[in-house]
Amino acid sequence: MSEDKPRIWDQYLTERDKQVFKASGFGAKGGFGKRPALLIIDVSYGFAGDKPEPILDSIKRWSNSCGAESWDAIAVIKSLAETFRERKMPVIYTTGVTRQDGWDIGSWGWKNTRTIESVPGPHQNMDANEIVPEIAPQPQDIVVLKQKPSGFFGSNLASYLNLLGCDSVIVTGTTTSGCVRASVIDAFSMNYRVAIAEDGCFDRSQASHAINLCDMHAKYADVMPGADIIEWLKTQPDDLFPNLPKGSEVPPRGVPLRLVSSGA
Amino acid sequence: MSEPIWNEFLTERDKAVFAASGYGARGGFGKRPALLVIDVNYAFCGDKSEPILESIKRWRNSCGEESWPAVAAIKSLIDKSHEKGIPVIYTTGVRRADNWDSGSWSWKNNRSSEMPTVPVSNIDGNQIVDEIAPSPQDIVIYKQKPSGFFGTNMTSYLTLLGCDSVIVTGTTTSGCVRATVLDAFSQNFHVALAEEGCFDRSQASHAINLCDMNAKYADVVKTAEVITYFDSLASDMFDLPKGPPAEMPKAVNY
Repeated sequence: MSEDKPRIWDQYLTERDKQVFKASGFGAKGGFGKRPALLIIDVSYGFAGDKPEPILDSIKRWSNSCGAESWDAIAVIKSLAETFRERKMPVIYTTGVTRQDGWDIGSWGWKNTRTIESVPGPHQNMDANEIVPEIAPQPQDIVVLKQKPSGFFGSNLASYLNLLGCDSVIVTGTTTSGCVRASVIDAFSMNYRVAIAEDGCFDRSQASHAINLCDMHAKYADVMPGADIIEWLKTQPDDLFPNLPKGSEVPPRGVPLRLVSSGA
Repeated sequence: MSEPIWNEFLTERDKAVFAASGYGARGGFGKRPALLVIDVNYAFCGDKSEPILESIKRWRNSCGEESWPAVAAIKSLIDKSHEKGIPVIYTTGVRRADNWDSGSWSWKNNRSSEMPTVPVSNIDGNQIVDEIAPSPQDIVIYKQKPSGFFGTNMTSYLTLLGCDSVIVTGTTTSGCVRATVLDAFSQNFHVALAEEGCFDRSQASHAINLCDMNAKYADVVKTAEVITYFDSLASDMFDLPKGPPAEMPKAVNY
């Protein structure tokens, strides 16, 4: 990479990797756009568990949980979301949606022996796809329901970014190596500028978290602390998005989770 | 599987988490596969086998000498596919000469203006290496972004062929291979990766991206296992193109 300060991925790279990244020109600063949206990818009970606890305990009940580290990231995401709302900039959440009979799980069911646990039919009376209340969507926010890793795949996310006139996205959420990465690749492919709040992202695997941040920083996005993004946001105008949703009322449980899940 | 290549990069907790959370199950092959060969061109292999730090002086995207054993593994898969009448689909890049359409590629790499003009060589970086040059019945897809599906007819071709699955090879493991695997997964194709047929410029990225994909999206298997699987399929199941393949779209590229 073209910088010398220590990064979370350094300990996982070989010495040759460090030389190759430096020599091949990757990891340059891409820079912010002018009209950003905040993306909060899949910060639901399914991925955070229902409370901070060590990951190996949490995944006993929530097969997709990323454990205690989720909740540190949620605090960072909360600050970012509050700053976006203060600047009257768009906040967009994604979370999963599945039919109750599980038919539309498709490829998710092929590589994980516990996938069926994430289908509604809630254990503990909690829906794994519900966004955690600490960062519950507000009336003016946008919630995109999806079925596959990328927030863009099979959803209206790109249309909403066009409608808002966005040129860039700030990405947070989980998992770094899964839905965050997939959303970042699609945003990159659509020529949006991408920044990632590294402390606002989390993953169940420590190595995957670090190396996926490395890969994304090398090629697709600027990876930086949430605080640096907040500092930049505070220098930006607060009248860029007169066409944010007006919002009606806060949905009782945050999202229309049962949109297509009845199976009927 | 023997000890996977990624284990040395994982923490002990990671290994425990992957085991407990149910990931990395065997997804299984489909019944009608296509072989995908992602971006195995001179830009990513260099023009000869040499240590990566030498090769990237001239070819900034090169993955160095590890590219060439992978090319040999890919060749064995292509030969077997041709023998059995299984579709072979290549991808490679395409770019305007004035580089306008590089878009987001130019934001994160301070050597991206070297594309597509390559110093000290008349070779087009996007040309697929001669060792596995496409045959008449093969399909070549020109793309501009990491995934072979993005902005291309890949899905339409797989539908036309009646494929239910893809076997993915090529480069880079952490870049275009991963992006293509992800889109194939999202479209509910069964995905397998021939491990020795994938390569990357970064050793850690190669290993961990194989780990991530094997956990969630694809079966990472040995090339020999794919060959055995191809052998088990009926011959000539597919209505393949008669050839020759389409030329690189010159109106776009020049």
